[in-house]
Amino acid sequence: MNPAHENVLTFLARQTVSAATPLILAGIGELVSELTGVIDIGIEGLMLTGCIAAYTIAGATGHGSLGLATAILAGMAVAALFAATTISGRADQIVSGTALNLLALGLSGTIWSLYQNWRENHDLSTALPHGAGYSRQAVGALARLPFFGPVFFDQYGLFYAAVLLAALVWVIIRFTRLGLILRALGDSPQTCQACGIAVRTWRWLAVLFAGGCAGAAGAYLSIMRTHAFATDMTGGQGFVVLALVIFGRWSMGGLILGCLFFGAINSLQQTLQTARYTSHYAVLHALQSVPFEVFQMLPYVAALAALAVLSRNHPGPRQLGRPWPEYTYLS
Amino acid sequence: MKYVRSPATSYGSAALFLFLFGLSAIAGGVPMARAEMKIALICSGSITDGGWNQQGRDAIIKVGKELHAHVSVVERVSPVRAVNVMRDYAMEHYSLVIGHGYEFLIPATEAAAQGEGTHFAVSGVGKAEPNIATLDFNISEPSYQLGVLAAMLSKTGKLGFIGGEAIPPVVAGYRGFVAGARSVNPHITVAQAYTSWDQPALSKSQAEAFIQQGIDVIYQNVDAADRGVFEAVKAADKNLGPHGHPVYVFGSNRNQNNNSTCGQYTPASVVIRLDKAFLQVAREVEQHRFQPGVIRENMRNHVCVLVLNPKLKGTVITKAMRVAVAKAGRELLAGKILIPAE
Repeated sequence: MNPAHENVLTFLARQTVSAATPLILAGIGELVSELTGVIDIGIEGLMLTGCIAAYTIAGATGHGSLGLATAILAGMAVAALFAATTISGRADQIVSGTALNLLALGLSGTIWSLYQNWRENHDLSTALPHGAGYSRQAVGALARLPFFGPVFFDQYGLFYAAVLLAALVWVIIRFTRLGLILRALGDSPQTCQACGIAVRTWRWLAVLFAGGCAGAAGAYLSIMRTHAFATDMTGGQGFVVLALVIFGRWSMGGLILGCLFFGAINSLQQTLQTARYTSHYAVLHALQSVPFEVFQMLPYVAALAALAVLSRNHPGPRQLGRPWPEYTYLS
Repeated sequence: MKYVRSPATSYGSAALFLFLFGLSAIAGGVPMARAEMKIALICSGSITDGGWNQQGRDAIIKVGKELHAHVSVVERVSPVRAVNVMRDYAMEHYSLVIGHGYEFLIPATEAAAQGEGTHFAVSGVGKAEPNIATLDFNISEPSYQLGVLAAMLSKTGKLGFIGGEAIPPVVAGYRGFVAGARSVNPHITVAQAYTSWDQPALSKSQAEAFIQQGIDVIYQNVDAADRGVFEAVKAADKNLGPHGHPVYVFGSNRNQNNNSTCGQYTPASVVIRLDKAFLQVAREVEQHRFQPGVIRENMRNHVCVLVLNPKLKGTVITKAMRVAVAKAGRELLAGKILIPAE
């Protein structure tokens, strides 16, 4: 769809969904991880790992599906490092997550450098070969529906996957025994252990799941939305995901609403930045004197404000961020 | 010849440091044989960014080969750390240290006050400071020509400019672009927006917002995020519709006319020939002619130039457009056109 043929509301809604998709994907994984008591602030690094893995493998093989699969596996592999240090090694989750972000930053830059050198030495372009990146996938006649068609049925493949995954995880968390175990792991691992549940094994699985989701979110950015890789291309979206999980009060519905809200404000600020020059409305022209930084801040300020209001009186999983079993101090 | 140090690895734990350093060594190579002249380039971002920093690395390597000099490139140096890095190079008797970006002006000034025998230069800034040379890339002139071309290409009378950050050299490009466009059509609209240097997704959605608002010519200066803009233009041009007209995009800093994403819709690029600029300073150092002060890099010395896409000449770029662009170039060189400072 050419944006020039869309009305502004449809365009904004479609942009909102596109911008929210990687946040939803990574958010689902982070939500599950946090429900089990593990806060993975290395989600930004996991997403970046997914970006580079997807791009280089899709670029080298010419197959986007291989890139996507590698991104998920790479996300899980790096998440395994985090799980090994924080769950098995009981290291501090915040410090380990920070180290993970730095590791991913250095590692992705190094892999990107190696990839570029290799392609150039073989007289190959570093751009994705034709067909290696994904385009939007229209869902038959549904894509021709007014408004809803372009917004929900003409999106990238991972959007549909994210919707299905969100629904599945919501059902599991809300209605199944597995969901009860996941929630109990974050609130009372002692009880879980008393019931014979292997706390650390379950937490490992949750962190690996989060890694896979974040890897897929990275693949979305590099081989679906843009067909490009740039160092630091996640631009802090992993940290936004952390905030959105809190914003959503550790619920799937809240998380998705938060992602859509953040995506909407971001899309709106970009359209406003343009419309203040191109619109016929005087009120928008008056915005020309507003520094562009104000527009750029809008999504973050709005998210912060909403976070401050909505996260009150909801501390989240009681054992969030604490190792298991907890350290005991001998007097 | 290059030796890449990757300071990003220095914050982590010892294990991570060793791991990354090992990989960096594989990627970046090792110091080459001893050479008489030693040149260092300090970059604020990643040298694999596909933009400004990578262009600087490529340019300095080219200079190294030309002068048979030893070259060292260090990436991700914050202005706060830059003074120490520059002093380290001075202690290692480097002949020339170039801070690649306006943010290195103050650190270079401080380091130059103590760096005996080492010469310091800073690229992308036009301010004179004691003991250092600054390379002022005036892209406003070729951007003016670009504006002329854009105004003639546009069917909607709406142009857009996307920058990575509102830093002086980028804003100068925007000013030139607006002045050039308004010289053809005084009522033309030029929207401006700033996104990021390294977030293609953000620059793509900004370009899509431009296109949705009827903008049909986009001038981008977003470095590594450029692919996002190209992708947006490609997608728009793929779905032109029965009465649609194409959206065009301009390249910046490097010649991006043959980019693989939408080269057929990239009529021109504003090019900064960093290798030429760096070589000039390095030669001055080599021949003991180095003079502190501002070096004006512009159309006159062929460092900042407009490059038209030869494949689009005669089709997208008509003869009238070529004549108008060339005329604007002549008038700029003759000093008949002055681009407003603000």
